Amino acid sequence: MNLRKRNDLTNLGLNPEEKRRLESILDAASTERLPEESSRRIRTRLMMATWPDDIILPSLWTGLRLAGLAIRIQPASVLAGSGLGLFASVLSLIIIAALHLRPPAPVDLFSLLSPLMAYAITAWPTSNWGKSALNTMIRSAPVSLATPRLWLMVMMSGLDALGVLAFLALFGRFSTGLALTWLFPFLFSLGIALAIEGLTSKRWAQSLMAVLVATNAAWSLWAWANHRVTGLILLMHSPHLLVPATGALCLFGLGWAIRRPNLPWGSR
Amino acid sequence: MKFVNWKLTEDKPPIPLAKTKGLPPMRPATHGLQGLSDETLLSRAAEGDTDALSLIFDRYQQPLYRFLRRQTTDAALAEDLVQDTFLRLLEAPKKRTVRHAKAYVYRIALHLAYDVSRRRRLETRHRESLVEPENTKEAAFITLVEERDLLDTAMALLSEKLRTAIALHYFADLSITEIAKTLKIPQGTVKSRLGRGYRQLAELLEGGRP
Repeated sequence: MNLRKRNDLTNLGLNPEEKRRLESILDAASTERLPEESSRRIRTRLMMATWPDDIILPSLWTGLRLAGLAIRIQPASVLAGSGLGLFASVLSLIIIAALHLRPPAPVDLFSLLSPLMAYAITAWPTSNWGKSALNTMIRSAPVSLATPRLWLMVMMSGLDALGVLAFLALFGRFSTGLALTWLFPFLFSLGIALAIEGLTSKRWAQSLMAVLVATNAAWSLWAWANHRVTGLILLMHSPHLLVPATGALCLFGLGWAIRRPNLPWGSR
Repeated sequence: MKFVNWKLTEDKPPIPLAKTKGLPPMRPATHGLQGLSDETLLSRAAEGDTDALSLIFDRYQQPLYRFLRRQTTDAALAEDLVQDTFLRLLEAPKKRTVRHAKAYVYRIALHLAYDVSRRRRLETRHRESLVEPENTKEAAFITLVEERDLLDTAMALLSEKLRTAIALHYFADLSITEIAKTLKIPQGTVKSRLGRGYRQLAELLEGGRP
């Protein structure tokens, strides 16, 4: 019993015998602690309650990128790109509703800047000087890489990742751990993009995708081992893995749509 | 986008750099928040700052559990109510300014505990109306003594007001002034409740000794 409580008991008029008796029993009871397992469970639940910020906006971001991609590659497929972006957002909302989470909190600075930055990156290749730079890059690249769509995907993924890291550095939150959490999903997205590109003929792209996905899985395992959370929670609690997963799904759908000449938006 | 850097265990320190071969662990940047008051942390947590929420959780989880453990006299229920209290804190209006964080947190916990207690009383009344009253009372008393330890039994026999005062004072470690703010009653009333409560508790504990 601390001194304040001891004094309080004296001031409250308890006699020494009552005080002694109470102290022995109450002191023993006051050492009781919330079990470690329960503490972790509650932390996890609270963490889940903060998901919306991390799910909705990155998904919107992905949708925006996809819409921009569709505009650049295939003017007729704007609808498909926007539709897939909408799908990503609705998917996020369904996840949130299914888990009875709270409505999204107001956007913070990162949330506000990231989509704008992504949009700028996406819009860049539509400008004249952007087209010219893109053509130069395509011409100077190895023959197997020389497809505009692949270059766009590489550029968008890379610039997104670099942009986020730049923002982190700007706001003093940069760390190697955080950089890696963005680097690996970037590689994962890139792997998926390469796989889409290589679906028809390029076996090397499929192999590369397998390597990148395996690297990403290794990173997840490392994070799991170090942070003692379940893989599922890790997968779902942050944009680091959910965004690439959603993005990959959307990119796959987009790639599929573009390659179907009999669909309204596919005129390839 | 919000970066969730969640501190997953309270007691274990971050993994040293050497162990992770140069990769710093994805631990929270809560050290920068350590100097902030509970009031500031609460308002940040309500705005979605998970580091602030994590720190508030670290500061309050144990005393809050001890308080709810004795207020409800039920360990499992107390754990659930600790969780519900923090979820309520998250749901709080974003722009709300909390003047006395400790009183605010314990008031939320107390209201949740009262709600459960009220529901249980209604359920008990309903059960009693279905069976013979004398048998029920006797069975309830035997169950109470058998299933709970001596302190739980004694606490359960105190009136709710006296139990709350003792649980806040002894187990949540609140001062008389803080209890008065939490319960929104004068300090004199708190002292009177504590005095009566402790005396009754001492008598009950003495009576329960073998």
